[in-house]
Amino acid sequence: MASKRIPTAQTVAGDNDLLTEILLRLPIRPLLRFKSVSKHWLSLITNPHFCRRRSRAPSGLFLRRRPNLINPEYDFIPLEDTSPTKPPFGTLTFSDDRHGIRIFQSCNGLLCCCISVGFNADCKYYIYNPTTHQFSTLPIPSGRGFWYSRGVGSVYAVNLAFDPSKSPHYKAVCVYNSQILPLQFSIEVYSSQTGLWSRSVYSSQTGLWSRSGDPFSSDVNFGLGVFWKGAINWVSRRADSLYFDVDEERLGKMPMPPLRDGREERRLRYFGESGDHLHLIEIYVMDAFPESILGLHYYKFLILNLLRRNDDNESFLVLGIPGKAIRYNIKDKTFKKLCDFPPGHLNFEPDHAPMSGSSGLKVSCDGAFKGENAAVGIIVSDINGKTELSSASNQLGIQNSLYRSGLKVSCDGAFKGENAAVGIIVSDINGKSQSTSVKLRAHQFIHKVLSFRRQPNTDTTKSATIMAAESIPSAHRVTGDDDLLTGILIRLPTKPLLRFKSVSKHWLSLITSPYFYRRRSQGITTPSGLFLRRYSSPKHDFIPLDGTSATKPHFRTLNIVERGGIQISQSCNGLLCCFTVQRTNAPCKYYICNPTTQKITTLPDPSGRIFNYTRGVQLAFDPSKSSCYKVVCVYSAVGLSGHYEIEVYSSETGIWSRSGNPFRSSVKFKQGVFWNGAINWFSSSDEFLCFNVDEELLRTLSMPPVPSGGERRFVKYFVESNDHLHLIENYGPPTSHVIVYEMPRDYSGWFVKYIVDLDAVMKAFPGSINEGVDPSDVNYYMFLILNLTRMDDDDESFLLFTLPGKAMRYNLSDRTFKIALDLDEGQSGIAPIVPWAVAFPYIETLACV
Amino acid sequence: MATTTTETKMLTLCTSDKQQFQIEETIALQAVTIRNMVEDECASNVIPLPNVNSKIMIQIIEYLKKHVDSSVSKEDMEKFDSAFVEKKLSEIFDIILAANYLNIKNLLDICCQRVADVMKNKSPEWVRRTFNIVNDFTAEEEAKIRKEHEWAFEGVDED
Repeated sequence: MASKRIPTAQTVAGDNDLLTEILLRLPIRPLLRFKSVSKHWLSLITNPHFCRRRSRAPSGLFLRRRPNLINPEYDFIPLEDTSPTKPPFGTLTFSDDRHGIRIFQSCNGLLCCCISVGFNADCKYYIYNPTTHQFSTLPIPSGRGFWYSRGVGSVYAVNLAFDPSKSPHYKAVCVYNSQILPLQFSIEVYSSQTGLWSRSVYSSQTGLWSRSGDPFSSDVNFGLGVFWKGAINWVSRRADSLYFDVDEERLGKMPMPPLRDGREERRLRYFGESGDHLHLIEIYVMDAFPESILGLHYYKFLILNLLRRNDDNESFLVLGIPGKAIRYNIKDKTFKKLCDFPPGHLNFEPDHAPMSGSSGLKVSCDGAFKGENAAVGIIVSDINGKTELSSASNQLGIQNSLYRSGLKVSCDGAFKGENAAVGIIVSDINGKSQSTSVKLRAHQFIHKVLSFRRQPNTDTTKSATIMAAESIPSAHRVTGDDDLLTGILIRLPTKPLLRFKSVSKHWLSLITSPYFYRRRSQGITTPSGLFLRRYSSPKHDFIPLDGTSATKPHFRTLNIVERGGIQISQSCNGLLCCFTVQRTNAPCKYYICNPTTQKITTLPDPSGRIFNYTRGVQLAFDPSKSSCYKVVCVYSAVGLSGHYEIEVYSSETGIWSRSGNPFRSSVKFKQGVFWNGAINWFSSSDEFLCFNVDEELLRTLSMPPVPSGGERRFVKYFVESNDHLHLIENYGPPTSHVIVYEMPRDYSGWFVKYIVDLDAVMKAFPGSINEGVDPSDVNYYMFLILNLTRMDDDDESFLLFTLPGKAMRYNLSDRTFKIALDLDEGQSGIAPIVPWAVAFPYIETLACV
Repeated sequence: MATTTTETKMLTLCTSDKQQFQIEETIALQAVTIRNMVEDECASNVIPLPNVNSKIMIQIIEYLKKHVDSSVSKEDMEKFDSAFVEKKLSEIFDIILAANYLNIKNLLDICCQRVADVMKNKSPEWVRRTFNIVNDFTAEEEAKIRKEHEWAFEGVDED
C-alpha cells in the first residue's frame, strides 16, 4: 500500500521543533530505524540535545543469574506491557572479549560493565548502550599500570555518572586503594568529553577537599555505587555513607537511617535510584525475638528493584520469588506476575542493585532455629524524607501478599514454637519509624515446609546443568580463559615462551601483546647473565649468572649488522645500546638491540648532526612504565666552548628533538647510567649530573667527598642494578678495600652500602698481586671491578671482578667467592692478564626495539 | 559460670556432586568467594559450590587446612606447596578452575606455576595436543615464526 503524500506533513517535517516533538514520542526501535530516513533525520536523532530530552524511565530490568559468576548470563524482565522491546542479550558479548561480561551498574540508560572474573587480570571496563549496541572501552586511569591487580593499587570499583538531562557526556569514577597507605582510597575521574582520566587539584582557596587523588579512608562498599543528584553514593553497613560529587569532585557524608537498637551493622538489601529518588531498604530480624537470628533466611524472596513513577501511585517494587518476578504496587498493594523463570534461574540477582550479590533472603533450614518466633522487617527509606512509602499495616500487606503469591517458606523441623511473627518497620531519613508485628500460627508454615521439601533443590538443578556443559577437558577450559592462560604463560622463562609463539595465532597474539609483555617485565629485574667486553677486540664473552638458566646468548660478536663488529656501550633493562667500531673516520652509527629476540634497530642521526661529534649516547628504558624507550644524546654546543647540548629521541615518535639550552659541565658523558627516570653522569671532580628524561630537566648534585688524605677521585665503577645506583671510587694509593656507595631515590646524598675487603681473594690467587712493583703502584693489585649485581634477595647480591685470566664472583653478604669464568692459558687473541674491560648485564625481555 | 568458651564456627560446603563438607569457618574463609558469600550474608548454612566437585574439594580443603595453620614455618609451607602440586596435569587444571572460582590466590599461583614448569621444556606440538588447540598457522607462517627464534627450540624434551 503506497502511502499518500500529505502536504502538511511536509510542513511539519520541515519544522525541526515539531519534528523533534514527534520523534521524541517514538519508541526506540522505530527511532533507530528512522536514522536511515535522511541525513537530516539522522542528525536530529543522534544529536545530544535530542538524546537529552529523550530520557526515559526503565522499560525493563536485566537480571544476572546467580550461579554463574564466570560467564554471567542475563534474563530480562520487561516492565511495560506495551513495550515488547526484547532484551538485547542473554550473555553480553558485545566486545570480542572471550570472557563473560558483567554488568555492575545501570545509569540512565548506559551500563557500566567489566570482564566478569579476572585472575590477576587486568579487567577491562566498558560503557555499553544496550539499546544501540554501542560500547566504548574505558582507558586505564593515569598512574595505574593496570585496571586490576591484587595488592597495592587495586581498583575497587568504577562507577558511572551519566545524566542525559544535563549533558550527553558521561563520567566514570574510579576508586582504588592508595599505593602508599593501606585502607586508604584515591579517586580518579574520567570524562567521555575529554577522553582522559584526571586527578583534580586541591584548591587551597576554597579549602575544599577536592584533589581526587588524595587518599581518604572509608568503609563503604565502593562496588555498590549509585549515581544520584550528580554524585556517586556509597553506603556502609557500619558507619556513615559517602558521596562524591562528580562535577565538583568533592566528597561528602550522608547520614544513614539510625541503626536498630543494639545493632552494629545494618542489613542492606537494596540501594538504588529511581525517578531521581534514592532508596535504601534494610531487612533484619527484629530484636524482639533475639533467639530467632538464625531465621534470617526465612523468607525466600529478593528485592530486585524499586521503581518510582511520576505518579507516585504507580511506584512499585519488583520482587523475585522462586520461579517468578512479581510487580508489587506500593500504594495500592496490588501485585501481579511479571514473568516466569526457568527452574534453573532461581537464585538470580538484579544488576540494578549490584549489592544484591547479597540481596534477598534465603531459605535457611537451620536446626538451631529454636525460638518460638521469627520476624522479618522491611524498611524502605527515601533519602528525601518526603515520602513515607507506606504505613506499617500496608507493609504487612506485602508480606501477606507475597506469602500468598507463592513465597516458599521453610523452617526446620526443630521449629518448635506454635507461633511465628512477622515484624515490619517503616522509617524514613528523619528517623520516623513505625513498626508492627504479627503472629502467625505455626502450622501454616509447617504445611508449606513439607511441600517445599518435596521439590528438588533449585541449586541442584542448576549445578547439574553446569556440570553437563563442562564435559570438555579441563585443560582446554583453562587455556580457553585468557586470564588463566596468561597467568601460566607469564611464569615461563623466555625461551619456551618464544617457542610457544608458534602454537597458534591466539597464543602468538597473547605472547606478543604489549600488556603481556608489561606484566611479565614487572617480575624480571635481575640479569640472567653478563656480557663481558674484551679489551683487545670488539668481542664479548658471556657469563650465565643463573646456574639453571640454559639461555645462552647466541652471539660472541654482535655482527647482526653489516661487516665488522659492533660494541655494546650500555645495557638498560634488557635492551642494549651499541655502536659500530670504526676503523676509518666514517660516522658512528648507534643501534638499539634486544639480544633476547635478536632484533636490532638503527637510530637515525640526531637532527643536524652526526654521531661523530657526540659526547655520549644513552638509552632510557623502563619496561615497567612504558614499552617505548628514549635515547639521550649529548654533544658539544657549536661556537660555545665547554658547553653542551642535549637531544632526546623517542621510539614512540621516531624523531630527535632538542632539549633546553647549552650548559656547562665537567661530567663524563660517555658513561651515563639510566636510573630513577633519569640519565646520571659522574665526574672526577665533585659534580654529578642527572637529566630527567620525561621532564627533560637537568640537575647538578654532588659526588661523595674525597676523604682526607685522598689524593684525587678515581671512579672505578658507576652503574645501576635492580633499581639501585652504585658508585665505587678510589682516592689514590691502591688498596684491597672497596667502598660501595649508593644513592637513594630522592638524591638526598650518597651513603656507604658495602665495604668489601678483597684481600682474602687476592691471597687465594697468588698471581693477583704484582709482587714486582711497589705496593703504592697502581698496578700492585691486579683486579678490576666489572659489575655489581643486586638481587631481589639482597643476600644473593654479588660483585664481579677480574683477576688475571679469571672473572670472580664475590657474594657481598656472606663474603664467599668463586670463579665465574676461567680462561685457558694461551687462549688465542685474549690478553691473559686483564681480559675484560667492562660488563653489561643481560636481562631477558620481549621488548620491541 | 565464669568461663567463656569460644565455639568453633563450622560451615558446610556442598559440592556439585552433592557431597557436604563440614569445615571450620576460619579455614573456609581463605577462599575469597566464600568469604564474600558469608560476609554478604547471602550464604545460608550450606554453601553451594556448583563449580567444584568433591574430589577436588578434598584436595582444596587439604591445602586450606595447611595454610590456615600459622605455626607452619615458611620452609615447611613451601615444601608442602611443592609436594601438593605433584599431581597429574589434569588434576592441576581442575584445581586451577576451582581455585579461580573460589578465588584462592596463592593456590592459583602455585598451580599456574606448576603448569608453567611442566610446559617449560615442551614443544609447541605437545602444547597443541595437551591443550586441544588447533594450529591455525599456514605452513609458511609457522616456519617464519620458528625461524625467528630458532635458539628457543634447542633442548626441547622428546614428546
